[in-house]
Formats: sequence, C-alpha cells, structure tokens
Amino acid sequence: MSKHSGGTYYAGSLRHRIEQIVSRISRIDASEFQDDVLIREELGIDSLMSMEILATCEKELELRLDEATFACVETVGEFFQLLETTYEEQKAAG
Amino acid sequence: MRILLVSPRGEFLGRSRAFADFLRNSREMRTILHYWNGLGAALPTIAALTPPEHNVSIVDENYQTLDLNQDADIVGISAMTQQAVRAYEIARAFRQRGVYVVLGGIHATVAPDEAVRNVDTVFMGEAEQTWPQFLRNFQEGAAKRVYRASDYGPVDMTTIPLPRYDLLSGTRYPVVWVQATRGCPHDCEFCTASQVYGRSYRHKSPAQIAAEIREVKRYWKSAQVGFADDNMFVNRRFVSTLLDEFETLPFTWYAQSDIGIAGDRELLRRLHQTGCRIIFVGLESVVEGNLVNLNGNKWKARRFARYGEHIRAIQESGIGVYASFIVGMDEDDHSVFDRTIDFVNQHHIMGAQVTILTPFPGSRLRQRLLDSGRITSSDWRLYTAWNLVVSHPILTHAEIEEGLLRIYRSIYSEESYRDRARYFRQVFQNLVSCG
Ligand code: SF4
Repeated sequence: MSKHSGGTYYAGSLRHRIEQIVSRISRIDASEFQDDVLIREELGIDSLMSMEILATCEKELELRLDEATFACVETVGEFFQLLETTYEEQKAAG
Repeated sequence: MRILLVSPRGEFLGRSRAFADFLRNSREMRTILHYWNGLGAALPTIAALTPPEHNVSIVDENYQTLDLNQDADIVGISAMTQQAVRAYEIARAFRQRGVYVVLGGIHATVAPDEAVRNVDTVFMGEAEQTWPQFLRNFQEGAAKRVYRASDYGPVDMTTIPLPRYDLLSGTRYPVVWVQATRGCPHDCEFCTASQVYGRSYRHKSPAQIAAEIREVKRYWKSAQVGFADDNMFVNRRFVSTLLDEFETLPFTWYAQSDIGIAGDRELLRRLHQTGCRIIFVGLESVVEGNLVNLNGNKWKARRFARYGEHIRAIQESGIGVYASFIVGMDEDDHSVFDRTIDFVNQHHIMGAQVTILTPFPGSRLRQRLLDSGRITSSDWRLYTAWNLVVSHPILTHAEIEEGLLRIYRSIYSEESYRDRARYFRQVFQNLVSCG
C-alpha cells in the first residue's frame, strides 16, 4: 500500500473516530459536521466542551494536545484538520 | 383580528464607555454576550394561547425591525423593566393611530399603576388564563383595564400549549430559552421573579418539555437550549423523570439552580450525562455579611462557608458553573473587587456574571432603599443591573464602575482563561479515566 493511499485510508478512519467522539460529547449528529460550519457559533461547542473533547481524544486516540489548540480554530474543518495533523505528527515522532 | 406581539428593544448592559471598550476587545466576553439574550418563551406562548381564528405575528425588536405603522387590532407588548421606556414609546405610537395596546411581563406586574397610564390594558402575573379572557372581553367590547393572574389562581403548567416558535423561525437565535418550571422558594431581597411566579414550585410535564425541545430544534438546529426557570431542580422526583426523557433527546443545555444541587452526586452525574453543560448559580456575594439578610431563612448565608466545596462538586461532574455576583451591596467595602477576583480564580469558576446592586420595582430591596432615600435614579433604561442607580454607604459611583471593570478584566484575561482550560482539562481527564 502506498504511503499516500495508506495515509488517506488512515485519515479517513481517524476522522470518523474523532467525529464519533465529538458527536457523543456535543450530542450533535455527526452529519452536521460539515467543514465550513463554525464550531462555536453554529455548533455551540464552547471552551468547556472542547476540553472534554480534548481529554477524550487523548484517552481514546492517545493524542497529546495543548489547551490553547481549540482557541485557534474557527470551523469544523480546521478542528478536524488540526487533530488529524497532530495525530500524524505524534505517530511519526513515535 | 390581527394581533401583533412585540418584545421591545432594550439595553442589557451598562453605559460605561470603558466597559463598552473592554467588551469590544474581549473575545471571551463577545462569545458570552452572543449567548446572552436569545428568544424567550413568553410571546410564542401568548401566540399559542390565541384562538386560531385570529391572525398573530411576533416582532422581537432585539433582532428585527418593528414597523410602527403596521396594521393591527391589538398590539401586545411584554417588557422587563429596562424595556419599559421603549414599550411606552411603542404604545404611544400605536395608540395615536387608534390601535388598542396591552402590556404584560415583569414590569407591568410590578409597576401596574405606571403601566396603566401608558397602555389600554395591563396584565399582572402569568397570562395563561387572563389573555384568553381578555380576548373574549375585547370582542364583546368589555375589556378591562387590569387583568390580575391572582384572581384566577395559579396556572397549571401542564395545560400550557406548545409555544408558537414557528412565528419566529426566520430569525437566527443563538439560544432559545425554554420554560419548564416556575417558582423559587428563596425570596431574595433584590429578586422580582418570585413576585411574578410566586414561591411555590410548579412544572410542565416531562413529555411536554421534551416536545418543546424537539420543536425548538426543528426550527433552530444549532441554537443552544437554555432553561429560563429561576431554580430548575427544586423537585428532585420531577427532575429525575425529566432526565429520563432527556436521555434520548440529542441536545446540550443550560439551566439555573441554587447551589443545593451540589450535594447530590447522582443528580450531577445524570445532568452531565443528559447534556447539561452549564449551570447558572446565584452566589450573590463573596462577603458573608451581605447574605445574612438576603433571604428570611438565611438560606444562602448558611451555605456560604461551603461555596468553594459546592462549586468543586458541580464542576468535577463535568458541568461548568456560571456564577452570578452582585457588587455594591451594603456590606461591601473597597476590598470586594479583589475578593471577587480571587474567589473566581481560586475556584476556577468557568464563568461569572458580576452586576451592580439594582433596586428593581417590586423587590423588597427597592422599598428598603426608598425608605432610606438611597435611590438616585428611576430612569428604567438604566435598570440593566450594570449601572449604579443607588448610593452606597462607602463606595463612590466611580469606585464601583472602576472596580467592576477590574473584575471583568481579570477574570476574562488570557491568563485566567488558560488557567480554567487547564483545570477543566484535568477534570475531564479524571472523568474519562474513571468512565
Ligand atoms: S434564588 Fe434566584 S430566583 Fe430564587 S429568589 Fe433568589 S434570586 Fe430569585
């Protein structure tokens, strides 16, 4: 399997797992998570909920994230992208 | 008949320039303010109580433009005190054209003599029984000047119809406030809520509340649901069946409660599990002396020593406490501002609303301050709880305004935000590892 296709498959399943976590905590159906949706204003995910999401991602995906992470993102797409990139980087760094 | 229901434009903050500048520049405060107002259930409920042969519309002036030349047979206005001046302006404009104007809501309930000079009919208290009665009388040409809910007995909330949210479905609200219960047993000196709903606790049925939430979510998918109830969890048996209903409803929500829930760990666990994310709690003051005469039974004073422990219990359940404090109370001195900052930061309180003591009409506080000649303004536009309208025994006007701003700057600083984020991250790490 090429690196590219492996990465694509991998990111896809990772996104699905992140979506499940966010959906469980925010109690919002994952179908609402379109990339251009505003995470605070449209989904109502506030800083408190984001800490719950981060703590759960840490536990379930073994991902280390900074608290300030959430403050920098505006949209659902940016949020998932950030988690995916962090995951890939931490995996690569072992 | 064409019936137009109006929520008048109102100021909800203070007039201090420095405070306005701070709000503009604080990202966290802007987010909080975004969720501040929203849609209340009062006018959609009145619309639902109106027989279907009438044509009802609603204008919420805080989100829409009101056309004062609009055709209507009856204009019904619901106003809080800070909206009263605008309510009277609207009434004047419609009455000049011969339109019949009625006023209800908190201000009409607590200041009926003033209201009746400005409108044709005044509603005091809950309108579920008086509004349909008024409509019948109006059509018979026999509308009364004043309708008192107390003449009809307390409303059975299980008979309240599903609010007509459809009438405002075109407006984008960040939060929709649903009313599940009424009444609060505490009778705080500054509070007017108990004047309107009384001290006995009543509620809608769990199925009725669930239907309302489904209706809200039908029109505002991304809006937050807040419960407007003054003290939602008083009746634990009712709350338990309500939470059963919420288990299958995919939504997150906010509520208001007294600090008494902190002792019930199982309730807190279930609240979080069913989507409760923030609870607004009136702590009122970090100065114990201010709480002593607040309620007849000293309810809050008796819990003061354990405030910190109670906040920890709620927040460690994964629910943020949004605490409200009042500055400018009689026992405050120059230290109250720093003490409030320290308290909020020390207990990692998720959010705090700090306001200035305001003698709202109808409150016991107003009578006491009137008797001692301490009320400096009765311009209702200033009654937002963010302006100083009384004199204080020690603190000057400038000291209170400056101190309030200092509190906000500190508790919503980047540093405090980071500290709270770290704290809640730890809370959720603990919950996740136990879960
Ligand atoms: S606890 Fe809240 S609602 Fe109840 S009387 Fe006091 S201020 Fe009013």
